[in-house]
Amino acid sequence: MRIKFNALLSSSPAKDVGLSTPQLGFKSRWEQYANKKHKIILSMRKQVKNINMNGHSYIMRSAALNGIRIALRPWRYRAAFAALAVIFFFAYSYLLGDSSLNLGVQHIAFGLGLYAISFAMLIGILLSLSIAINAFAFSNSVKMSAKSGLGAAIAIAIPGALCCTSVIPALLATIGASTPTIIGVTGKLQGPFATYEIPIMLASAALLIISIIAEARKVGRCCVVKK
Amino acid sequence: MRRKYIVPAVLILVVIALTILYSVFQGNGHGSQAIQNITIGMKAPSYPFLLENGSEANVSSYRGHEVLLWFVATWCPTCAQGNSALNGNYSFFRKRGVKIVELELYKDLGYAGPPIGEFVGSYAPDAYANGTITPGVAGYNITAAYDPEGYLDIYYLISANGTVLYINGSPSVTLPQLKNAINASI
Repeated sequence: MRIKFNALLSSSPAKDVGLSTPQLGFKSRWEQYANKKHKIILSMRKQVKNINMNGHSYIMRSAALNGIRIALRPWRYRAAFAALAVIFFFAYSYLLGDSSLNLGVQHIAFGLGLYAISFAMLIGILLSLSIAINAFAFSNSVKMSAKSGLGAAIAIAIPGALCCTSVIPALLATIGASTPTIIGVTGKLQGPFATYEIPIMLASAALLIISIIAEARKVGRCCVVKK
Repeated sequence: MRRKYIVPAVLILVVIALTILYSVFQGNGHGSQAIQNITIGMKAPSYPFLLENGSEANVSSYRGHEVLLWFVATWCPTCAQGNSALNGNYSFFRKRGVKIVELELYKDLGYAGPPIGEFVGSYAPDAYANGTITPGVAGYNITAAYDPEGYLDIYYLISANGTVLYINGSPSVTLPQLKNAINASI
C-alpha cells in the first residue's frame, strides 16, 4: 500500500492517525497506527531519501529542521514559543541593561543598542524554541537526554550572572555575606564576566543552538515513517 | 534518569528567579534609598581618599560645592560608558558648579583593572583634561560606608552643605534622572 507521505509530513500526525488531541500518547498511538502497515525508522541520517505520494523519491529536510517543524505544528506550542520569545527578550533586556552591551529600557526607547537588541532577540528566540521543543517532546513521550536541556540551562544562568547587574550583589546579600567579603569577592565574580562578556554570550548562543539541534533531531526521528 | 536532572535544574532556576526578583524589588541599585546605609537627606559621612596626584582628600573637603561622588570599578564596562556619557555632558556640570569625584572602589573590588587616571583619561578625556572629573582611589572604609553591597557603579549627589540629595547608579543609563536631581537642587 502506498502511503501519503506528503500529507503525513505536512499536516498534524495526530490528526492523520485519528487522534482528537495531539497530547494523547503521540508516540504510542503513532506506533499503533504505523505498526499496522508501516515500519518506524528511529535512526535517521541527515538527509533521507523518501517516497512521496506519487511514488517518486525525494530528499527530505534534515532531522533537526523536521523536528522543529513537527514541534511547532500544534498551535499551542507555536503560541508558547511566541509568548516565551517576547518574555525572554524583555528579561534579557533587563539583564543586559547594565552590561557592556548596554541594553536598557532607555536605549530601546531611543533606538540605541541595536547590537544588544539583536542579541537579546537571538537568545530569546533560541531559548523559547528550546523550551517549546522540550515541552512537545515531554508531552509526547519522546525520549530526551538530560544533556539536551543543559545548553538552555546554562544560557539562562550565564547572562543572569553577568557583570554589572545587581544580581551578584543581591545573591551575596541573600546568603548573608559580610561587607568585607562582598568587597573582596564581587570583583572576582563579576570581573571575568566583564572582560569576556561577548565571548560568553556567543558561547551561550552556540550551546543553545547545539541543544536545539539535539532536541529537534530526536523529535524529528520519532516521526519519520518509511514504507 | 530524567527526574535526576529535573530537580537540580528546577532548583537552579528557582534560585535564579528569586535572586532576580530580589534585585528587582531592591531597585537594582538605582534610585534605591533603602539598600544603602547612607540615605537621602542625611549628612554624607566624611572619609579620606587618595587623589590621583597622591594627595589625600576627604568628602567634607568639598563642602561649598555640590559634588557627585561616584564609585567605580575600572574594569566595569558600564563605568566606562558612564565616563563617556559624562564627558559628553561635562558643560552641564560645569555650568552648575557640580564637581565630579570619581573614585576607584577599594582594590577594584578584588579584580584588577587599569589605574583610575588612565581609565578616566581614556573614556572622559575632555572632562578629565578640564578638571570636571577628579579621579581618586577609595580606601576600605569609604568603600564599605558608601558601597557596602559591592555595586560597581554607584553615585551620590551631595549638596554644598554636605547633605545627600540623590543616590543612583550607572550614569550612562540614569543621566537624565541625575540632571533632573541637579536641576531640582539649584
